[in-house]
Amino acid sequence: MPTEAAPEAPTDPVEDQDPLVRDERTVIPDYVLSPNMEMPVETINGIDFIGVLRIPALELELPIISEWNYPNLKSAPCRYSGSAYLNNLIICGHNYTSHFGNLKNLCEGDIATFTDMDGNVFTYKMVERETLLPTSIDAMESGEWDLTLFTCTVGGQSRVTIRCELEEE
Amino acid sequence: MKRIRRMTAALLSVLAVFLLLPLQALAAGSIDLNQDVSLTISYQDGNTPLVGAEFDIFLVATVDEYGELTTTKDFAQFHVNIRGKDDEAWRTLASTLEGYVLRDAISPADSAKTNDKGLVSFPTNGKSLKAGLYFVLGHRHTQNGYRYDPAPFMVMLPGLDKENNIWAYDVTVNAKFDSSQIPDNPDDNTIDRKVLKVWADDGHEKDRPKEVIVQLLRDGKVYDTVTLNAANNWRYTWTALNDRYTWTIVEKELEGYTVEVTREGITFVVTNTYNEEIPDEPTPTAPTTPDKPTTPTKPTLPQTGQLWWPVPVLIAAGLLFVVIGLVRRRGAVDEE
Repeated sequence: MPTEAAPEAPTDPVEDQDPLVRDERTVIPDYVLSPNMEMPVETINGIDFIGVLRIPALELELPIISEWNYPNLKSAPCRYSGSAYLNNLIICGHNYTSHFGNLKNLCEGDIATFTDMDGNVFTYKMVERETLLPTSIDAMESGEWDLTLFTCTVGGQSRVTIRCELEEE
Repeated sequence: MKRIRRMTAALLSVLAVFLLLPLQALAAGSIDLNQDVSLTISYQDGNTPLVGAEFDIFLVATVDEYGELTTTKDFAQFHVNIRGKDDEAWRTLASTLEGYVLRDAISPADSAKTNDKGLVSFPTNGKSLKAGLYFVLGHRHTQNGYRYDPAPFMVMLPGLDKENNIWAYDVTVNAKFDSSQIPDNPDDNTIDRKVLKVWADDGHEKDRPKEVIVQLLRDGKVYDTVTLNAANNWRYTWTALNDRYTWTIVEKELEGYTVEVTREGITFVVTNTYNEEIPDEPTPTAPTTPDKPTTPTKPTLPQTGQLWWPVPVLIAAGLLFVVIGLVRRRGAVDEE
């Protein structure tokens, strides 16, 4: 195995130090330091929740369950996949009016916020609506969207899919 | 034609072999190990020299004439990567070694205080320095109502003078620091410290230990020990620590992982990287008879809705039965 090049000797640290990094008092959110971390959960009655989704335009405020399965979906919308920290969160919910039944009424520009269990708030803006077939898993997970919400259409035959982008501060 | 192609392939293969040969990385030539090395630290706050500040210097690795590093006995026990590729890697190595050096009270190779010009030089009288990779740790210093905490750093002696591409046997470094004004009642001030564990072990997640042990050091002595695991999201926060002390974090060594500790604000980020070099013990398994392949059902997105289509169908069927009933009844009535 060829020897590696000799390591670069540390250069004279004359450059301005980055004030943020060494400041003893700044609190940097954990997900900024470690975006791959698991989203922290709060367990209530044996079910893990990752946070709260709020959509003012639909007067919705819903807890989001960490893992999806059919029994969980009856209680609340669930995370289908992804993480808010990696900008690829996908949430699915039943089309009850109390859950995602009115998603189809969202307009471009409508705001949705997701607050995680550490209190970090992520603000998204609706950008696009798609209708996907039940087998379009690749399309659903295509990953370009920061937040995706989906539910069944009235006939149960397809999935109303709302795509949102993170609002930069 | 075929001959030319074969020759081209052979020629390209030979050229490719050259790429594998070790790079002659030392364009600066080899290191003269007989020449003395020295380090001068300049510790200034703007135009004000910081006087009487103590610095300790530790030999982490010796170097041979080709620049190859060999870790010293004191530092061989730590699971760190001493071959940094850039300045940030050196900074990370320094901040990682800080905790271990304090925890284990490792003896420095040399130690001295800055003079009234804010300068300190190594080696001090009666001592000598070997060529190698050094770790420099400064002590907290107070002057004129301010508190100075120097950032630990790594330094290669001799250093590489990149501009002239030669080895510099006398190296001067400007020490960086955090400074803050000392409050009137230092015991009233409190700070928080947090440790956040990050795993860099793609593909080896199942090999992770169930928990890791982290220690909080107060002025270099162990103050608290906590266990990090999945249940607490591999993180812990200490609140309301007395600000008059320096607080450092140290992780108990993990077999099979290298460690890096950096401080970002109040958080110490402890990153464990899976050590690919350690060969896994191959576990021999008896070959299993393959299961009969079942046709996989096509995965679909969850069914997040009630079925509505039966409703109109049932309504229609219901209406149909009502109509049939009416017609038959009318028939029956007619017959009477």
